[in-house]
Amino acid sequence: MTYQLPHPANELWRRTRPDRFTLPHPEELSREFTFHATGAEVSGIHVLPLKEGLKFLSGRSTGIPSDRLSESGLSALIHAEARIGYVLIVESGLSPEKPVEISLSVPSGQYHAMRCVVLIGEGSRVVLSESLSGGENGQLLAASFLHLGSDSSLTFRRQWTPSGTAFSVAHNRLNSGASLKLTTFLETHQLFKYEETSTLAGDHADLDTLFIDVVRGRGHVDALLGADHTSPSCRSRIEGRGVVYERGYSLHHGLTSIPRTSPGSDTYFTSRHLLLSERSRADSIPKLMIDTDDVKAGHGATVGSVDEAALFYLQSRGLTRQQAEEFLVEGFLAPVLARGNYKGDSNVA
Amino acid sequence: MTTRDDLLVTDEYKYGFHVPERYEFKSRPGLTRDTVIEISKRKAEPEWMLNFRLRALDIFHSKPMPTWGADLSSIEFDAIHYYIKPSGQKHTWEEVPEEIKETFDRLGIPEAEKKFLAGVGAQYESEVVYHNLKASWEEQGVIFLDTDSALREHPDLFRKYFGSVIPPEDNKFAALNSAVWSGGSFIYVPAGVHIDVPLQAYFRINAEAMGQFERTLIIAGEGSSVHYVEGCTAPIYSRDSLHSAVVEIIVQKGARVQYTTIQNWSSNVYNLVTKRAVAEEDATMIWVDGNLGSKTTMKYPAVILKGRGSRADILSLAMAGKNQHQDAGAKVTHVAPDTTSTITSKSVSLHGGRSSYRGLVKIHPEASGSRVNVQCDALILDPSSSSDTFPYMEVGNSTSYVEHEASVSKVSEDQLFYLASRGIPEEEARAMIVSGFVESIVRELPMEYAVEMNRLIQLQMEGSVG
Repeated sequence: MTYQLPHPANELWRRTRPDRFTLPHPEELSREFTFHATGAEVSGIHVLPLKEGLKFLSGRSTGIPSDRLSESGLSALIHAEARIGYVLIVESGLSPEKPVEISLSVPSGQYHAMRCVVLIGEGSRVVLSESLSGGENGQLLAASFLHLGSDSSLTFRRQWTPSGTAFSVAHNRLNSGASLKLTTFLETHQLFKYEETSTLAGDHADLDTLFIDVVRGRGHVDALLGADHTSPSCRSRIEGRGVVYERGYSLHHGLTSIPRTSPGSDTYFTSRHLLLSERSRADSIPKLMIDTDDVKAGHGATVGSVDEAALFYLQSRGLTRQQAEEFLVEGFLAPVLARGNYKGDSNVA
Repeated sequence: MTTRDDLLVTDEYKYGFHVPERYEFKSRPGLTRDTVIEISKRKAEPEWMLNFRLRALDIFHSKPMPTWGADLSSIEFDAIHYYIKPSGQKHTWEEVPEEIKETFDRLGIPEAEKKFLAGVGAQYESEVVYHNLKASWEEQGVIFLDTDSALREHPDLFRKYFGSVIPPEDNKFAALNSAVWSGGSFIYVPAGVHIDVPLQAYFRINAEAMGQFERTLIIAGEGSSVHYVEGCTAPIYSRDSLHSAVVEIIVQKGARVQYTTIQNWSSNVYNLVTKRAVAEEDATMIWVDGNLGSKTTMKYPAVILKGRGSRADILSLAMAGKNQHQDAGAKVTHVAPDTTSTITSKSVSLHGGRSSYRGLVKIHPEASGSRVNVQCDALILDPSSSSDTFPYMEVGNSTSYVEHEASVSKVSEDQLFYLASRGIPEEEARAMIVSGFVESIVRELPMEYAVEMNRLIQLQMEGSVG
């Protein structure tokens, strides 16, 4: 099968040139990666390597619906050709005491295509964390799919610090009464294109997603954060927080749709950027498409720098300008880092 | 039998009448080089303008139709008359249908203005027939003419600024306007002159399938100020009509320009307008843009903040009723340091209408210390109506600050309940709530427009319950 890069005129690729990515031949894809999981030693929780996991699921839908993708050959390639990744299945009615922790690492200098599938059974309550690193001088293509059964709850902390170029497409599907609290922390000095969409597919589903990006050097982060309220009475809160250093660039592109069939929807999108150098840049595009009147919807966005008065005050207490700046960045990220429990994991925190 | 209430029920365009066409010349439908040459010849234009028009025509043909925004697929460019020169003959007040006179009475429009609105008092179609400028302004060197006369009477001034803010290459409809423009207003305010009474011009489309392509150019000299008010009404016809205007404004150092539009085209008109101002050092540009009618509107008043310390305020109001799509918004480009902009957008969707806010805030790396505030609120009045927001914010330096806030909601049951408890019927209560919702924009209008706007909202809201 041949794959094609997205068309440059595609609305979702206007700010990231598709040809900055390479479509590797499937034979070129690396089969190496390091995978480690803890907390899964409980009956009813299965953590399996990708191939085995997909076989286990035998025919269950684990892919991203094609209309959710940005017409991207990259996504199609990942779905058809990925050799690395994992499948996590939590059977219904489980509430493990300990979080499930997964760490992933890919070697440097190669093409990687990875898939992660997480299925949470009805009524289960799970805390999951995932960290990914490596891939220096390489290109990582990743797809993840989360499915939350009715009345289940997942608190998911994801920390990605790839050293190479990365493209990631993620889809979350929430059945009725399901609750997803997702925190994604991303730090890069390279190109990272991220597309996350959530479908609130059952009534009273609740989505709370937070995306944090720290961009350094000439790093470029292009993040799509979308929600489709396809069922009535659902709630979504989507927040992006970006910290951009040096000549970095960060885009938060929100895309929330509420069709006529989903009265009682409640949605809010927030995007906040902190620019830390004269040459850093940030864009924010919070879109809303609403076809019903029974709705509470809004968005807010800010782009700015650290407060000069606060910097001055901290310097007057003996900190250098750089220390004072880092202090204020910590303040900007503190509430979200606390939520994600990332303390000590990043240069920033 | 048609009752008065039937005539006033919302979605039926309130000014949907027309008086028989009287014109001196009407171009054949369709757009060719010959049409453009004919227009230029009839107006006895200089050669450079003919060349400009022909170049614009080539650009129009070479550019594709926009694929974003509203659906423009049913515009029949070949069915449009691109130029109509009215005869000087006036219509009479007696020709205006009784129900229209009654609607004017309900809107509380003054006697003289009624005749104006009914097209029997003043200007018509492509040709601006009437302008009223106080003698005192003329003494101060103010020029307020229709654009065609300005080209004839002030050729050097005209040529210096015409097309300097919106060249034909800008977009397909700016190119179309550049090729076939006719009429519009030309205002030149010399340095230091303040015009304290708003300048006004009404535009009407009065011929079937006729495009109206007025071209407005305003130059405000250093330290001057002017407020220009443009109001539009148009009668209903079966075939779609196209209104594609271009408005260019140059706000020189320390000057202030306010451009207020109350746009109330009939529900078969495509209203595709390019409006842009350039603000020099310490200048202020204010767009107040009210979009109430038309089939489809695509209009994003823009300001380029080119001089240090310049400022832009854009207030946009859209009301989308049955079969209407109001795709409106604002664009501000910050090029110079210490520039400020505020955008306030209010939209109301009812009876299945769709309103979309589409905005761009772009801060260039050189525009350090810029400040932007965007507020867009939408009200959806029934389950069959829609609202979108498409804001784009691009920030190219770290010393600027941008904030954006948007909300979409319906009329609150609590508010309705409270007003009902005070004895106010639901329909009236809804109209009051909508009037309150748009108040921050309506209060920026000259008083008589604000009164008219509130009454228009009340009329639009009729039939919104049950």
